[in-house]
Parts: sequence; structure tokens; C-alpha cells
Amino acid sequence: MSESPATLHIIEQRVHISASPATVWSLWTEPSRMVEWWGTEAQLDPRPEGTFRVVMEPAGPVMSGAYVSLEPFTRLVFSFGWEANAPGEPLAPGSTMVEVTLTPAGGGTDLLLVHRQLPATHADAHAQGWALFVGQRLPAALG
Amino acid sequence: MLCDAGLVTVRADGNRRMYRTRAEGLADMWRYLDEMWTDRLGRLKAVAERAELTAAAPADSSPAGSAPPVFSPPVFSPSAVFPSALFRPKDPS
Repeated sequence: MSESPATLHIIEQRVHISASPATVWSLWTEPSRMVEWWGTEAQLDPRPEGTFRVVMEPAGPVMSGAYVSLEPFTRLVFSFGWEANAPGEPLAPGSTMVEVTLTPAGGGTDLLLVHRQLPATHADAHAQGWALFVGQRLPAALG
Repeated sequence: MLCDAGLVTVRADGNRRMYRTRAEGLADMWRYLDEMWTDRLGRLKAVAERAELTAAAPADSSPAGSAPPVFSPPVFSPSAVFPSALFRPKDPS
């Protein structure tokens, strides 16, 4: 991407889970497990460059990504975007990255999730053609 | 007004007015994703912990006829948080 890292926004979340890293890992790599917590439909091919696609809800957005890096039970990186967004738009497929790190802790797992490469400045938003609001939805969206 | 303030640009697209936001759109996008991850990681935690409990429990540990506890996650609705801007409907019409 042409943007410098300084212009990009990061989301970071941590959660402690009373389950083993292996169990937590399976929830990110097995479709039947993933639909228990993320979406209604999941197509996962857990190897580098493999498909990572999640239908979040029947009429909702579809997350379209790909596995980038897999270190079993430890670290997972995948690209994240909305399937319907065109290349160059914010959150287009492949445009942002999610890194999940699992660390054994207290008999369970500390999970750290970092979502990177989110556009962060007005200029970026303008240049990339930010998402569209239609008619009267604008005030509600801003309110 | 918003256009004058430079917060929104408007362009014609058939019969619809299409608005572009700058700072607001970005803040909404971050908020949407932040809430999405909070919601989904909460579910993941519940599912993982339930799976491990189920695996660890002896087969005869539950009294006959009793149902396992059901986890009911709060419903996270993308459309309630961010009605139109973050994602497009799958149907292009």
C-alpha cells in the first residue's frame, strides 16, 4: 500500500479464555467451530493463501480474506475485508490485516487480537473514496 | 450545511443523493469493527470454555434428562450500528 504506517489505525483487544490454546486455535481454523461464534457460514482453508470467508449473518456483510501465516496454537494472521467493497475502497478484501496471538496463561489462554492497516486520516478517506451514505440515513448515521 | 463545513461531499447518482463522509465515516468504521471484535471474541470465549468443559466432563456427569446450559450471546446487528456505509448489500440492485 502507498500509505505510511503512521496514517493507519489499529484496533487491539485482549481476552483471557479458560481453554487451551489448541481449543481456541480450532475455533479459528475449523468451519464447524467458527460458525459457533463468528458467522452463519464459513469457508476456511487454513494454510498460507488459503480462503478465509465468513458470512456474518444471512443479510449481513461477508468477510472475505485469506490466511497469511499460521503457527499452530500460537499465532494466526489473515487478511480482512468486505467482499462487496471494490479494490481501493476502505475495507476492500486484502486491505487490512488481523493478527491473533495465543499465549498459555493460568491454565488457559490469553488471546491478543490486533486489526491493522485501517485507514486513519481524512485525506485517506477522501482519496480512497469513503463509504457512501444514502439520503436520509446520513443524519441517523451521524447521530 | 455539512457540505459547506467540508465534512461531507455530495454527488448525484441517478435519483439518489450519495454522501461521502470523512472523519465521521472513519470513526464509525473503527467503532463498528471494535464492537464487532468485542462481541465476537466474547462469543469465542464462551464457545471455547464450553467446549473444554464438555470434553473434560465424564459422560455420566449430567443427570438424565437435564439439558446443558445454553449460551445466548447478545445479538450484534451490523445494520443497527452502521446502516449502509460499511458494507454493501450482497444484492447489487
